[in-house]
Amino acid sequence: MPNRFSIYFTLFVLLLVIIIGCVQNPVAPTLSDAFHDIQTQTLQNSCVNGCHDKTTQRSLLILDKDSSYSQLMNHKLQRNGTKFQKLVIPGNPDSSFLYYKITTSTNTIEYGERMPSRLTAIAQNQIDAIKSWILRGAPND
Amino acid sequence: MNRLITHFVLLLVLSIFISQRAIAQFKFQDVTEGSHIDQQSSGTENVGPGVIVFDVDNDGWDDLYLPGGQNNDKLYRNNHDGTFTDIATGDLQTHYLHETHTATRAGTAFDFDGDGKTDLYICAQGNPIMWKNLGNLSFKDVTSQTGLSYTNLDQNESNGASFGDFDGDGDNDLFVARWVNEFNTRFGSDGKVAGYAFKGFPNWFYVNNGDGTFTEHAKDFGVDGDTGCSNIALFFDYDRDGDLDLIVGNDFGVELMPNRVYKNMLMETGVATFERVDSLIGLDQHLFCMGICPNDFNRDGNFDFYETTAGQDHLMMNHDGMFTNVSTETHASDGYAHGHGDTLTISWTPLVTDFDNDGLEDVFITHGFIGLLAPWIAIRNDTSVFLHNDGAMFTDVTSTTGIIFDLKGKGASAIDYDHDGKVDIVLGSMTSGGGGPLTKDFRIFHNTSQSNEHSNWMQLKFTAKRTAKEGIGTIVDVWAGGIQHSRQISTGGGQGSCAPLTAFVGLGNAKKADSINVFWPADKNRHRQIDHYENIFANHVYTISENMRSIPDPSLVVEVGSGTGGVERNVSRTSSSLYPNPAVESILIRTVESSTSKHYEIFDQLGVRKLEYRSADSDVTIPINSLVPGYYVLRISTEGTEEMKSFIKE
Repeated sequence: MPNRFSIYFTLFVLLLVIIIGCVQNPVAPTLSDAFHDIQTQTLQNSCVNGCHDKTTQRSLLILDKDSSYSQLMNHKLQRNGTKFQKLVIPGNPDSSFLYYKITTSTNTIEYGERMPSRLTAIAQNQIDAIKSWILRGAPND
Repeated sequence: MNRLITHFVLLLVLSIFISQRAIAQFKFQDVTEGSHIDQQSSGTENVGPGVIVFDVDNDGWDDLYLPGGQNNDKLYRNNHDGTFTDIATGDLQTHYLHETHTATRAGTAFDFDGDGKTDLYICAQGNPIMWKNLGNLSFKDVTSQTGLSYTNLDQNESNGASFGDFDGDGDNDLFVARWVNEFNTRFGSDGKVAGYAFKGFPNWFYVNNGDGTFTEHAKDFGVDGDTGCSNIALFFDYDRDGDLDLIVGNDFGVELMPNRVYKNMLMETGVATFERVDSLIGLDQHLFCMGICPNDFNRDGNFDFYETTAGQDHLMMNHDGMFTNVSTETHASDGYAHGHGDTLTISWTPLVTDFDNDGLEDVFITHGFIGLLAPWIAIRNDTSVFLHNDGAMFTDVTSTTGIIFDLKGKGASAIDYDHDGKVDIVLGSMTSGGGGPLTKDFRIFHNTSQSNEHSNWMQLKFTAKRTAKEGIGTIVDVWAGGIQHSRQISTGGGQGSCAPLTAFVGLGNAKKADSINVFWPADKNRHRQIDHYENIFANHVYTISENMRSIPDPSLVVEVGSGTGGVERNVSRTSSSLYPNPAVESILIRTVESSTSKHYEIFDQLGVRKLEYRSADSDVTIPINSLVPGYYVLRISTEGTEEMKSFIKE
């Protein structure tokens, strides 16, 4: 039969584990920054269905797996000569309209809404993966 | 002998029939290349491109605004010789003022600020734009200044717009049909797409404040459309009571919200409000509504509607205010692809107008497949269709018109671009399919039908005085040879398109109209002007101003083609008074000239004489107990003079 001390000690350890578990934020895993994985883990789930698919073509942009890379590289933005020239500028996330649209906190007439529209923002580790991909030169890997 | 007579009669009937059939021919030629129209638009295949017809420079010739989607927009000015020149420049051309201006697709044209120049409201997948016509063939974006919704959303999905002076206060108001907001697909037990639970954006209803600005009041007037996915907006006086009602065509209405009709209560109550009446009058069809074209295909004076959808078209015949679908009985388009009796097609814009000027309105319908719609039923590409009206019955004459257009036709407008009296067609289409932004283009089909003694015509344009000058809702009854031809000025109800504000009237054998009755829209005080003219020669374009009494008037007649023009009869102005108005029991007429025998006639809205009275007294009381409540015109005739007065019987 365990003595009283060992019972209290066990409870104390359990409580400590619980407290530490609550205080420390879980660290989100770093996601792959390969474009193939970005397509699977982010674009397909958050962008395609009902908006950037072949039939709906919101903003005339298609981001399904067959079209997304080509579209991100070549899609014509509406205005030339403004802050953003293209959706993706390899090596420069701050000049990439894609990166702006998923990170902005304000909706403006000039640049529209944060994407995905009216849904929960893309998770930070997904954003980090896209940023890392652009910084790597946005390869089709 | 009897046999001989029988054969003779049969031969006679057959020859009459053949001669009638010979008359009943219309031909078209694709003259796009020679016209210098070369617009190609890039957008989604779901909506547009529409064809917006208007007169940019007030030269009396219709011009064309053709949206470019993601490409530049083009504004084609009519050169009066069958060719057009693109005059779009600057912001109007590029139309991308912000990233939220995505893909122009539709629009309407009207003078929003009363400066005499026609402005443009352009619909888009993103933000729509109001362009103010500066008068020197240039335009300025005034969307924000006018108070029109200018959102920070990427999507606004304005698919069509219509304008009219719904409250009779002298300025134009604007209604904008908005399409899908949320795409929610419903799957069947087999895992395949079985239907839709889409939700639409609320429609916009902009009431003109009279100072060049608007206030959005859709919810206040109960016309925001809830969750309907609206495609078509049309201000139209469906019940001919003098005020503009509102008709809204909804896409995906097969499972969701049907078409809506909002009746204007201005004439009933003195206040312009709307009451939803679609289910009461039989116009609550559940369709993939793509177009609603008003017409009077059976010449009974009641306005009917040709409605397009995925599958069989609906021809909604008006039985004195109640509507029933007669598309099967009249052999209107059956909704099946040519040569594929088991495969449905999609109809987009219906144009109901008299292409051969034989006196009966024919039909042109754009057909074209898109992938988004109704994937659970078989749908395929098809040719656009021409139907000839043989007498409130239709015959498919597509194969003999000279136009086999088998690409994806969408928007269209009827227009007489070369002023030859025959109605031509401008069509917006998409020429390729598959993924990615599509290439669309526009065509112009010239009406090359032979003109002869059986194809007389008349075109009527109107300038309102008491209400906004475009006179949307103006009804004209042209009587010729005992036949009534009724038309109403409207934006037309085509997919993304805006019709010219002209009443095209085919008169058949009649070389003149015996009478023309013009029923102007009522003003805010419920005064409704009714003008009456007689013996108007055919084969001319006439511009009629409200309350224009003296005829002939040089401003009335524009010489076009052959014919002498003008009218035979002089009408001079006198100054009689009519009291009370509105009236219940009787009306008192006081005339200036006494001791002259005067002839009093009262006509109803259809031009039918209801009462007649003769007297030489200067004060005459005419009992009107026998008249049903409505709007009447009183004609006072003496030898050499004639005067019109309109009144309301309550």
